[in-house]
Amino acid sequence: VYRGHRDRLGASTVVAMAAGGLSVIYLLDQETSDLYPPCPFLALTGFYCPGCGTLRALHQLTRGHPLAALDLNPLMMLLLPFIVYFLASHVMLALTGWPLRKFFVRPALIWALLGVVLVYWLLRNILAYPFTLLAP
Amino acid sequence: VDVPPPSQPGTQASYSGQSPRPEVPNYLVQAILTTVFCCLTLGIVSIDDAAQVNGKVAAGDRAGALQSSRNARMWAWISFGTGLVLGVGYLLLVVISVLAQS
Repeated sequence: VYRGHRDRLGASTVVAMAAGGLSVIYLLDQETSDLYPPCPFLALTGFYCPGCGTLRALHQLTRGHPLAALDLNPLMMLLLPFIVYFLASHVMLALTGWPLRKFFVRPALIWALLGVVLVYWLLRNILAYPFTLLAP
Repeated sequence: VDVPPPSQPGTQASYSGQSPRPEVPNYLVQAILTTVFCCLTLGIVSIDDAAQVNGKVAAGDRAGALQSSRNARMWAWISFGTGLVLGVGYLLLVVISVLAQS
């Protein structure tokens, strides 16, 4: 369904923010820059969270190193297509006024995702092979 | 992935039993972003709420779905907000410590 100017403006804002964020991620290397905050959960508890390694992984991805990104946060890479589709839909909405087709995700699939995230959270904190593969 | 319900208000439903009313947003993307892409993983509550939204939509409980939708949005914002505050706070500390050394 065709959307009005307000929706297109909103979509443009989302796209601009994503582009800005990705530019910073591309330009700054987390390993050498002091500007990146550490993961608050890791800093507070000493345990990895499901998002640990995501910024570094996205940096590797923008530099053309998908394997390094996979190594840093495999769950993020698994969920990335979903986010890319969301962004692509917003680009389309901003440019043409028509978003991409929306999918109804089955509730069972979202419950499964919740389970996967919780198990991933737990497993990536086990300091033994092969669980260390999940750690950043 | 499942078939999408028709979201166009005013057009006839192309799937039986689906409401032609505007869809209830489940904020699943925001939930994933605030759980796996940033912040304090409080977004995980949002994933739970997103599942409840779609579950209640599928069961025809529109009022319940709208309530879960509001919860999903709230928890995504809480997660994003705490992440932002901690991130900006850290950045300020870095700047202050650099200034203090110079």
